[in-house]
Amino acid sequence: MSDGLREDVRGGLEAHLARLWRYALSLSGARDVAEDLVQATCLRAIERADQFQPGTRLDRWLFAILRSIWLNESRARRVRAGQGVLDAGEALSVDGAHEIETNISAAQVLRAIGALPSAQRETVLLVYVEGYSYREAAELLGAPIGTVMSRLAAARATLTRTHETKDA
Amino acid sequence: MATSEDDDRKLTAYLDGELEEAKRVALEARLAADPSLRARLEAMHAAADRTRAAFAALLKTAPVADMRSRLESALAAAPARAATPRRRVVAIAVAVAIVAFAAGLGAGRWSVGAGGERAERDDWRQAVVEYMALYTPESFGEAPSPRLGEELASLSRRLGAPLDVDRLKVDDLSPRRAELLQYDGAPLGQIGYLDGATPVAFCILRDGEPDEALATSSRDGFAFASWAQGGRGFMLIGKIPVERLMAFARSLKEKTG
Repeated sequence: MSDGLREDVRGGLEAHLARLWRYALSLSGARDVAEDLVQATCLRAIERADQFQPGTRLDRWLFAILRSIWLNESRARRVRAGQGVLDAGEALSVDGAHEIETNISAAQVLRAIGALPSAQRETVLLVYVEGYSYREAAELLGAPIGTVMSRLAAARATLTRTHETKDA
Repeated sequence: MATSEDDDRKLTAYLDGELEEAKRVALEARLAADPSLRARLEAMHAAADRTRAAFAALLKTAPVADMRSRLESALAAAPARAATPRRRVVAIAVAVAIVAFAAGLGAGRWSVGAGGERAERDDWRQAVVEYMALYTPESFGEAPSPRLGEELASLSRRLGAPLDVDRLKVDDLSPRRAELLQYDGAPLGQIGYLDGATPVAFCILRDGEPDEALATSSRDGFAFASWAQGGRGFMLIGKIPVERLMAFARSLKEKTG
């Protein structure tokens, strides 16, 4: 393998750690799992650096790797927690001592996003936050564009309703 | 406000700049003529912005320094090709974490026919063996859980089996924590013990399996005892001598049967 490519990938990882973590958290709903997923993603990316196509976006390639690791591990393990664990709404919460006013509102929105079905949550993150086009999201998700649109519409409808209820 | 899902899809694609030309023109004509559709568009408009703002706030809480130093130490430990062994460790860590988080869709239970039941029954025990390999003495806490009584009461309800601290105390082993997992949709209770510094777990799956006598076996360095009665499968597992494990298993079987 080209050592130059490996160095490029390795050097480029750091800029994307936070966004990879946010994606991993959206998928897994657990902060420690998110960190493990990011670590696994980075190591696999370095290992497979020769598969990265120079001139394409490193972050998109990393997202695809992260998603594939998550899916494989999810499928491999059918034991799942029954209760007593965080739901995604809690896991996505913005916490910390510096909870300023904007974050209180962010926390409310995140709670609503955390309560969405996981497929909707992932699609919302990819399109509205990470800037994937419908086509790009469909490709990553392995789903038709119409499915991407339906998930986004359903998520918008729920988030709109939640917001209206809160204001009422 | 009542609008159809189809309209929501169109409005969403319109807001996202993803509606194809002909449909966009048609929708704009309807919007011009229909105030309630316009109101719906305006209401839905803000959702994406609020989502972006919320996720931006979340991004600020990312543990970047931790992740960076973890990655650097992993890479420094074996610069060229550490991927294989480390990947396995990480994969297992992810797998275990998944145990602690309900994710994804549940496959139908017992989807295989009667011939597959035996294999299904062994599957959950194999899954327990796999995640037991990751437990350390710390996994079961420095001290017994202060909420142990409640945890056991909750397990008793879900598993339909009488479980309390007295019943679960065998010889010199005392339960330290109890938690509810699930396997293929069936409640799986786990009670954690420490034998000295060695984690030992007592697992109960309420899955309707037929009665089976107590038997011991070993796998991957673990001794384990399994039996089934009253529609529940039981398993005791730990890296302790098989005779010792068998003695605990006999007492537990008697007290929880």
